[in-house]
Amino acid sequence: MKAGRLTALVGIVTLVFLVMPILIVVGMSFSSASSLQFPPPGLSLRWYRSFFGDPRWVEALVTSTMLAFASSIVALVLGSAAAYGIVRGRFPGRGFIDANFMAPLIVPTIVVAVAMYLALAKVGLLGTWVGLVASHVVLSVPFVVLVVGVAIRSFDERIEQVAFTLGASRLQTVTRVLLPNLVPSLASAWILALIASFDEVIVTLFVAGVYQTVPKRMFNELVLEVNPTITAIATILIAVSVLAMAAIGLITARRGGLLKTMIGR
Amino acid sequence: MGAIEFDGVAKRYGPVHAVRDLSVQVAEGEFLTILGPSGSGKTTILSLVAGLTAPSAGRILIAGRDVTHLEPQQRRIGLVFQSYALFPHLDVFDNVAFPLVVRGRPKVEIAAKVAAALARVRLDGLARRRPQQLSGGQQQRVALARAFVFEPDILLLDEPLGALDRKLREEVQVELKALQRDLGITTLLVTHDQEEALSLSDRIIVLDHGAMQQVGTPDEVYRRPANRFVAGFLGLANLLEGRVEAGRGLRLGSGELVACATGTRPEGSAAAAIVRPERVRLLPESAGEGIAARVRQDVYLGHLRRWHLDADAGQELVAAATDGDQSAAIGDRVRVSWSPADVWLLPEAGAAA
Ligand SMILES: Nc1ncnc2c1ncn2[C@@H]1O[C@H](COP(=O)(O)OP(=O)(O)OP(=O)(O)O)[C@@H](O)[C@H]1O
Ligand SMILES: [Mg+2]
Repeated sequence: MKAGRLTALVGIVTLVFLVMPILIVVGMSFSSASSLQFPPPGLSLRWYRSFFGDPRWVEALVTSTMLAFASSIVALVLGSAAAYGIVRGRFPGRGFIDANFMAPLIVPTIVVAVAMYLALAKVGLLGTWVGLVASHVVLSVPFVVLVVGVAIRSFDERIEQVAFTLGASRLQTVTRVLLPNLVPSLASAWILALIASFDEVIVTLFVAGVYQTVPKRMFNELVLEVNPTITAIATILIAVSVLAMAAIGLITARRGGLLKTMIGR
Repeated sequence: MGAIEFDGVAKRYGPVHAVRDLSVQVAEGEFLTILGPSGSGKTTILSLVAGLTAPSAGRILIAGRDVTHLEPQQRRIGLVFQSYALFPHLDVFDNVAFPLVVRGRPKVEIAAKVAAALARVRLDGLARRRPQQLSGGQQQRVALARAFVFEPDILLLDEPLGALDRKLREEVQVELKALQRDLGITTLLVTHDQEEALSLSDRIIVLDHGAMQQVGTPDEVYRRPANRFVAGFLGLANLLEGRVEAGRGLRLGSGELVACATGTRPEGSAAAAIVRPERVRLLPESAGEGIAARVRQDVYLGHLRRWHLDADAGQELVAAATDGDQSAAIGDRVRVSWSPADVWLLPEAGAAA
């Protein structure tokens, strides 16, 4: 009992420590004060108005959204194909390829950023839209390879083999048998890729050139002055992330949650 | 329809010989069972026929055509796995329709063929159920219907009855046999259950460590096993070891002579013979013939009663009879006898253990 209570106490303290800053930011975003102040002296939506009323912020929001959709869809298609090859393929070096896809998740982001900067400069794509999308694909593809790879691994290969013997080509087997059974994992992977792109800042700072994304703009603004508009944007970003995680939770709930799906039962 | 020919087929996984030098012909329309213990290479043989794995050596011919290097899609084979491997996202109808759909058959034809196949396995009312909503026996029948609905040349069944309880298994065995005969389809069935093998098959291949030990009719492999492994795997057997006395029988180590046909075995060569328990008679101690023994155990099996005996010379023996036909209690002294015709001298070389 004693140990149980201690565990609970540590848990609560940790949770408060993690959640507190978020709550403070959310609280300040609804403040009526002209500077960062907590607790807020009064409530208002002025910082949200300031965000949506500023064409530069709106433009950054549009850029971020388009970038997130473009890169996450490309990452979903390429990452799923890669996961299929890695899991079901019978060629040597699969482990190496797998590790290669995972690298951006493990290597310090600043290293990835410098690498992307040099690589894109070399091929003349630095500061272009294509280069920006490509760099976000590299960053979000590990989530797709991870989630979809686990889903394929836990799908009984004999079901695909039976499809072959029943006359289905490899393409038919993938589209008619494998993909329909992967829908929840594909949706989760896509949402994770979407979020990964939407809140990315370091690599974007290096390679985006004139393109302004929301996080990049926030970063630049913070360097110049501390404006409470930032808290409104942060709140919006938090809300989007929470909704996305809730969506993943709902999608995978029937199979015991994302974590269990990923661990593979 | 097609006959299958294995021509020196072998499969290695690194150091493991999953299948060794298999050469055997399966006739068109034949029901052949592959029987062997776990890990003996049964599933590997089926995957080789289905084209899911490539052999390390040898050729496989179906209906005279070399299919060794053909993709599974081009082999016209219906496969049922032990786990059934139904498509979880499709209902019963769509599962069975799958092979016809991927072949692009017209809707009307698909509907008619699927309905006929489902009726054949008595699943008419369940067409719109998902696999998860079916019992094991029903899932097994869906897998079977899916495997024959597109009229393949060959049916491959990997322990299809393994997951069913005993009573259901016996029912489905009868159905399966009838279905196979109606369709006249060449069938390879894998099992490690000797009763299933004996009751269903035209012929049986007995497999051990990837090597074929014997191929023959159920009667042949049961009554005239090629070696000790086959004799032991197809049920209980009394193993008698000794030296051949040409024209008379087998002289056991204990000095007793077991009368049997000795064929061309040279005088004095080491040999082993078997007698099945149900061929063994128990006689009263006063009888002049037979081996003297004491009853160690008396096992009641319902339809049968079985006695485990210790011969005075140290040999362990087993006898079995329909309950009521013979009787003996634990500790009784008896004499054990059989007719020379029921002694089978194992043809294996170097019988001395
Ligand atoms: N993909 C594989 N890689 C390596 N070894 C394998 C592979 N498949 C089978 N084996 C080995 O080959 C041998 C035969 O396996 P197989 O699955 O054919 O046995 P089985 O007779 O079907 O056994 P069971 O009755 O348990 O299903 C085993 O020793 C097994 O470990
Ligand atoms: Mg097997």
